Amino acid sequence: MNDLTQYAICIKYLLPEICLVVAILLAALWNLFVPKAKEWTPFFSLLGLTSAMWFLMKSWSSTALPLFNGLFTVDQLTTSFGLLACMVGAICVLMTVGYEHHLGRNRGEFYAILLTAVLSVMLLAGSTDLIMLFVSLETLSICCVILAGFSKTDARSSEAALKYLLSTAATTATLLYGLSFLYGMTGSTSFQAIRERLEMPMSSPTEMMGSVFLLVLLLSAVGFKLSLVPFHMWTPDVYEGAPTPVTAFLSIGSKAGGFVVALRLLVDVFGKQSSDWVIVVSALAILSMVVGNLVALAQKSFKRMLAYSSIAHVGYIMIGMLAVNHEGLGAMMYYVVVYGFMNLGAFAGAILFANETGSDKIDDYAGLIRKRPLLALGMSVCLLNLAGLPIPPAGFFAKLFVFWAGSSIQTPVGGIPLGALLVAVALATSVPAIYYYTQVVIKMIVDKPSAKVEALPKEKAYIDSPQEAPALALAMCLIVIVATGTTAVDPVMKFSKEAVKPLIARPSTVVPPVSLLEDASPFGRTAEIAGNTGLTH
Amino acid sequence: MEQFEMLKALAETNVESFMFYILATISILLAYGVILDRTIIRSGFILIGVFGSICGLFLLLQAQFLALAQLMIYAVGITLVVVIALMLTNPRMEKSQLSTAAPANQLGAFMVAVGLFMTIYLSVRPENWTLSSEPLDMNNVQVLGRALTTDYSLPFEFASVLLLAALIGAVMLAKAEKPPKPGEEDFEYSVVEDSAAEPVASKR
Repeated sequence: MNDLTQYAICIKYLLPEICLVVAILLAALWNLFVPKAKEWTPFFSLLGLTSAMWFLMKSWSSTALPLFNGLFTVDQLTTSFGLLACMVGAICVLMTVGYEHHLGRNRGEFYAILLTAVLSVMLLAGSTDLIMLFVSLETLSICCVILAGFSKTDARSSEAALKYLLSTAATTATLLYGLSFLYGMTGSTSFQAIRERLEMPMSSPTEMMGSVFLLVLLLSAVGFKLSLVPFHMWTPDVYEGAPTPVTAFLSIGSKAGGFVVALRLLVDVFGKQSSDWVIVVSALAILSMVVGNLVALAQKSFKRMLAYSSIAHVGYIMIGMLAVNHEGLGAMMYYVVVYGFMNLGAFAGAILFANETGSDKIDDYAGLIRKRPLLALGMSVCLLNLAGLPIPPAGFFAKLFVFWAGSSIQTPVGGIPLGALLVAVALATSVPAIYYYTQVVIKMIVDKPSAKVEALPKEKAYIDSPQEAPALALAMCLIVIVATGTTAVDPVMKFSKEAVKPLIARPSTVVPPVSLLEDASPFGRTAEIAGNTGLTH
Repeated sequence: MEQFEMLKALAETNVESFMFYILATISILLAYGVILDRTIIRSGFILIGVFGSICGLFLLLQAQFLALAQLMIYAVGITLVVVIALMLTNPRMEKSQLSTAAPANQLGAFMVAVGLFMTIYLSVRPENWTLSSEPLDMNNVQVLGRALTTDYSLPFEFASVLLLAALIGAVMLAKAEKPPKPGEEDFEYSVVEDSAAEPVASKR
């Protein structure tokens, strides 16, 4: 009886995920059984995503609820990242509808795997146990590999999939190595128990070295997912070769997974050792900003340019995390939301353009405004916001908040506070960013039409053509950007601050974990560590 | 008789660590064999031995279930798949033409490896490890089963979603596919280079 009610509670909080699983199965099987009505698959996917969003909003609560004995925690962070993942998923589905002709006969499968990737981000957001974390991270990586290789007739797509597979396999090995040491040193897989163990005073220098070593191993995995600079090698090729909707998903969907892992592991579990990782992560962030922005200058391909610029943006976003306070994390979350929609909008525009011209070269965008004024204007808004120019000021505010929070970091590095250094680098590297983004905008608006644009037919209705879905995606992104830049700054900021609250203020009244075993810890280890029976040297 | 006494003394002190060293040596040597053998199919078979000795290590740790899973999944299942894949892709079983790295690179790699080993060794010293003095439950398969169906049911079930996605992806990637004939797909795009009058995207 008791067990059954516990199960019911767990199921109730997992309803969003269950909706998605149903949608995955439908997407995978619909084409098989009803091949005549295969254009319905994206609608089922959208339906699954919207119902998941509805359940997520219903389950929004200000107390953290650990399900499955702390394996999966439902708190504001889980819910908000779940909402973000679902929205990104929905926009990617819309983009895919206009991209389907590249996928051959594997359309239903594409949606199924895209939804699986979204689902794994949602589960990743709530993972508070190493096992759950690892399973969902692996699912995300495998789905991204498959998605990157979906254009089977395109050799670049296969190359992207293979590169991503090999680099993700290497990082997984590193991560698993790190996780096994973490388990060996703390004796538990639960984040809470690990945190409690790590918060105990370190007894010897080797132990401190051990925890730093662990941090390095874990950082390499997180850095790979976020494509921070030393771990960014895969990004440009995969972004360029993968089908464009997949690139859009990789640029924010799988990165959202990386951010939430970084938040849970670094800020929450290793929060006490923040002095250890702040320096390392700052170095990575500075490198990312410099390398990403400078290399983006030289790119000829639009997708490749966005790949390098996304590396730089992660650098900016990390500044918010480095502040490790409510303001900084809130600013980081705000940046993630705004950046996500700006980037998705840019990719939707790229799909619309590539569908008509078959090109992805920046030079080919010249003079687009003469033929497709709406598309050119929409893309311009996204790009100018990515550059951080205040037109409308969503991207500008995002940068402002992050820099403001970053400037409060006082950790001294060689005499100057770290915050000042970070913000100085960020401001200096924003200049090339403005140049390469506005260069595209100027080409589209001022320059003479390129041969490809010249060849475009006269104004054509978007309605009732395969272009309508990506156009809708672009329009949705634009609405969000304009809203977050003007009227909705406060609500979005409030949402962002709510989202990161569980990391800052640990709930004073801890809800007892919903467990299904009478003996709360299956191996008797967790309790032992939590109770600090201590180390045996 | 003397030897027997010696063996008995050894057995009383620490058979476990004795066995551990033997198994560890075997598995390390075999692992080197996997890397160094140039005939790829032979390294595939040596891999079975590596997994077998790792299975022995699990047995020493009294993790019977893991030991058997290791044996069944890795030593038999995965290696078999590897060998079959090799047979299908490289039927002549020739020596693979791997080029060796330049000596300068080799030296660099060696230095990195030594540095990494020292770092790992220094930071993961045995005194940092928490030892549990608790006796293991004899029915550890039972404990595992209960954990998998109760507290750990979420990752357990989610692993099936992972396998489903991997299966779909593998079938999709491996299936031979002809380029679609014109008219077979429901949308057909024509890049507008050839004829400007042609509609860009038409729905059929």
